[in-house]
Amino acid sequence: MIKMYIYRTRGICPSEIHFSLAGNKITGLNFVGGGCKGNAQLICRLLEGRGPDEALPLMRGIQCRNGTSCPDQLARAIEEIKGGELAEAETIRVFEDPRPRLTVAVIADLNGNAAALRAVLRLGTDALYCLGNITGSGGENDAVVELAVNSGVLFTLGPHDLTFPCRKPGNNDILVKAPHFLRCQLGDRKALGFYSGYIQELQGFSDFLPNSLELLMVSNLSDYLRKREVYPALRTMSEQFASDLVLFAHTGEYSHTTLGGVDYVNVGPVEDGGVYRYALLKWEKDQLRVSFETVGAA
Amino acid sequence: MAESVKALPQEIQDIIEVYEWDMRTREGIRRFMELKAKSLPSVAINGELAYEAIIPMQEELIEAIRERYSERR
Repeated sequence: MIKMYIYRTRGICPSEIHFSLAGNKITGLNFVGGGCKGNAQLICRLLEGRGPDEALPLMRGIQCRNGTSCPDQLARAIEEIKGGELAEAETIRVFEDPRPRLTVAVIADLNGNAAALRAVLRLGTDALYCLGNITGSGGENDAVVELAVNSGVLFTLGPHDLTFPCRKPGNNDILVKAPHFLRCQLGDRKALGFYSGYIQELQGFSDFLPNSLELLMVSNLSDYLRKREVYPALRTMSEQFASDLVLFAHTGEYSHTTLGGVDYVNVGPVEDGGVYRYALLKWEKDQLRVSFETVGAA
Repeated sequence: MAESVKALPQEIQDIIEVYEWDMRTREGIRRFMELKAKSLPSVAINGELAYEAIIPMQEELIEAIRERYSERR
């Protein structure tokens, strides 16, 4: 069993230490957010696979600055785990769509609307992604979760999905294990989908995890692309993105913005005055085409 | 940008404290917003945005620091 931990450091250059304990062996050690990269890599290599009890005497009490050091902080993290003060980090789940796609429909805020899901499924696109809030207050949540699973709809969690549980425990289990991020390939574009910045409130979130940069730039820096005045900074930061297509929801609006070689697609709620709205993403003639379409009920 | 600040002569280093914010972090973004900055890199002196999207020549940066230092005194 692998348990992942994130330790918020005090007094040293790296702001966090990420590591796992797998069968009581240290693994995946990483000092993030600053510091001496070379020294940190050496510590990580030397400690990989060692047991905490073997590693502790090597690290405890080493001084670098502020009466502590990177190894000393790791020793404190391990001691806090042993003392029950440092809890296992909740995993930020990422699902990778294994198949490259050419035509994708993207919806959000389904809110338990089974008729809407059936209508969008009839489109027959390569894939249907729902960015979150597949369930909702008063919705047909069990029917929607079962239809989504049986039809191969790929969905990420929105904040409502753990607030309005299904009646059937099995469907709740599906929601509890659903991803927070979706990674996929559309033509030659690498896409990242998520609902909103609520993910950063989860206990296992770190600024330095894969996908965090795109999330923070969309939600915290640009207020979901609504703060046009920070577009120059967003353009600069997008050079560090691992994705060139970012899909998100949360604002209740539909929009498509291209900035610094990255396409940002904001997907609003599926229900739109008696018709169902979705974003249609097509890879045609080596180009990404984005449009916002509607479909009626059956 | 931080490198150009680190390269300032010792007499300037002696009168300043340098803080660097990482824009990949929530804290860095929060500070960027507080300063009402729009572009990167940005330099603030005494909590006020002084340069945006450019790395000033060292002489210019020294002059700006000295000016604000004398204002404060």
